[in-house]
Amino acid sequence: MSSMGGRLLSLRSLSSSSRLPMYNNPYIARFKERSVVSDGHHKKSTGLTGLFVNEHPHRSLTVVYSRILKALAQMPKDYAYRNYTEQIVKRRLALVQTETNMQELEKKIGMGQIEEVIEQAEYELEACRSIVDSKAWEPLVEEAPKNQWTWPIA
Amino acid sequence: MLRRLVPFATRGSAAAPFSSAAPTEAAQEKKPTIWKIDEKKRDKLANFGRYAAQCLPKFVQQVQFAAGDELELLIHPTGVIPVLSFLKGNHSAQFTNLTFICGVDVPARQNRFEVVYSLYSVRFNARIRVRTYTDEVAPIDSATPVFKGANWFEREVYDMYGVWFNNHPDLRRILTDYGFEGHPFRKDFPLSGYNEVRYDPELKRIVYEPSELAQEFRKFDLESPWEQFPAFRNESMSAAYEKIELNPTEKK
Repeated sequence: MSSMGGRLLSLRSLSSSSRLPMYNNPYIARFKERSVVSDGHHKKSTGLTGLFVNEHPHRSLTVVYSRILKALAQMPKDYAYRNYTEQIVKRRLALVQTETNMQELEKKIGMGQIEEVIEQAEYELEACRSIVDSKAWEPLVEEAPKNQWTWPIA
Repeated sequence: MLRRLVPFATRGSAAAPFSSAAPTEAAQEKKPTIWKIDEKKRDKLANFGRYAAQCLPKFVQQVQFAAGDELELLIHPTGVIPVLSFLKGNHSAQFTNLTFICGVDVPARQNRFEVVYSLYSVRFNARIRVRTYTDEVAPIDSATPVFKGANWFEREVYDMYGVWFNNHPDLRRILTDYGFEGHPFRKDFPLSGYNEVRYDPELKRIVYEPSELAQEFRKFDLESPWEQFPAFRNESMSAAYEKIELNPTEKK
């Protein structure tokens, strides 16, 4: 009994001592501040790990969409990717500009929560830029060598 | 609430819990273990393959189905980053999850290594594979700027096959030992390796020595005297890749 009491005491003293530095938890260090949502907002969290509530989706969406359109403008006019993407982005941008209610906007876009839509737009922007960098609209660089894609070989 | 109660209700009775939905259908289903190809989804995937080829004419060499309904894009090695970022970023693709990267070694080919990227679209519940090729010396662009998870997979491919990835943040071996020689998944890698490791009691440490086999070469006769698949005697051996025609309108 006495040994157990001693262990309990030592545990208690360990937990109360402030000498040991706390484990630098990334959740506290980086994400806690970002996960704070102001009181009036309609949701406290997106429910998806690593995706934080955006309280001004209209602003961020307009910025990202206009950047995508700017990147698309550098591509040739008859390029399929440019046409399809412009169509989608312009339609969404029009929705963003006309609909002020966030939840209604989510319903009209139909791609889940507005934060997911923003993330998707950011990925699209990256794709646009890498397509512009690599000039993917040009004709095929090089045919595959003979028998590269055949199985069994020859 | 009613739907949730149904399995509990059937559990009490003698009927099997899964047969409650449609017992006749289950009875008609004779081979439930065989994967059934969803034709509608297959058509959609084929359309998406054509769309991807149209959007990236510079890099996509061929679009095909493997094993019936698995879409594959065969691309030129310079197009790894644009193709992957297109698949990840495009609104109608959204392949945001990198399932794996692996290598394939076919020494008879001019470019003996293949690198395969498998992606999954959570939004559309679809999978796609991207395949490209390289040889022992030509480097491939690393996919890490697009997918952070590519880091370890590429290290693995580098370790096992010796494919070099450009712009990789930390390209070193991942599975084998420090100072390991050779790339174990290459077809020309000897089964016993180049070095053997043992504990030397005199030196009291581990020593690395070139491996020596007690027996130079053994010939195993692995062929069976019986024919295994007489029903498939005249079938051709093929992986059943089905090429997707990229311009169906021209054919009409």
